[in-house]
Amino acid sequence: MNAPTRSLYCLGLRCLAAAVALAASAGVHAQNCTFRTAGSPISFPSLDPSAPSTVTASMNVGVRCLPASLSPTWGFSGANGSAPLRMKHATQNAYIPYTITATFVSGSGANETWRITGTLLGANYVNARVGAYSDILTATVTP
Amino acid sequence: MVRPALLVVALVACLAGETHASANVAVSVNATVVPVCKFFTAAPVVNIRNVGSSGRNIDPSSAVTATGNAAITYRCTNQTMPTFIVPAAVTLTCGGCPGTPTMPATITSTNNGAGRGLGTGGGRNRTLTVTGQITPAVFQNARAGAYTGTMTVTVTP
Repeated sequence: MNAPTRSLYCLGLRCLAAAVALAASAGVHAQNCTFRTAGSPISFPSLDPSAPSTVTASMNVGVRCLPASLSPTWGFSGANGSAPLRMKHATQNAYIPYTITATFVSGSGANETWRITGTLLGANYVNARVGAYSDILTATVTP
Repeated sequence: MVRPALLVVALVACLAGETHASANVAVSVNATVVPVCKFFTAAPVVNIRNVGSSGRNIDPSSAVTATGNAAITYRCTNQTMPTFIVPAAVTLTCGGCPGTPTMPATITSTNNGAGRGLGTGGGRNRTLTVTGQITPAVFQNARAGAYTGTMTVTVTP
């Protein structure tokens, strides 16, 4: 009765070894920086084109970077263009460009918090068509 | 028999943890441009007359209705339709006359743009023309003097 048990246990060890090997192999190509939390919407305040001014909106997101000495490099792309990033009118082919920046807030290594801030210039909505605009922004961290 | 079972649990937990880690995150970005209209003429004046092409003189012996107008520029959010509130009449008072007599003037307006706003930036003006009229029946027996009045014109949204 001992032999099968030992055999199965050994099989488990082989599995463990394979898993470790797989993990080590995957580590060569793994992301050192990843998101810990999902993003929340970036919602600008109502835009009054009769008093155009620069407006900002932001949200915080969790990032894990290991080793802790790494600092993530950020990239942004949008569903309506990336150079520049643009929000599209809900029903019309009208766009409002915006910019995005990422700034470090707190934490380190496996538990960093970053703030993603969107900026809209007054000149970019002073003559914009009335209505709702939106975009889907994809934020990327590397390495 | 116990150790393999523990091993399986450990691997599953590890894989489950990885499903939350990603190098990308999708974020919705939203904004709303509100409808708004504003006047851009600070202090428009309607000079009512029936003499000449400028000034504000009314000849009470004339049978010609005295008329005057003011062009008031406004701008609205692109594609926003303005609504104006203009009084139908205004009372003009001769402050320097004995007894401070008054004359009623009728008021009408025309939205020359007759359409939706073009934006609120420079060069996007539309014009509302406000016209005042005083009929001969009103001014023919009026006391001589300068008559003035004030009205408020409103645009929304």
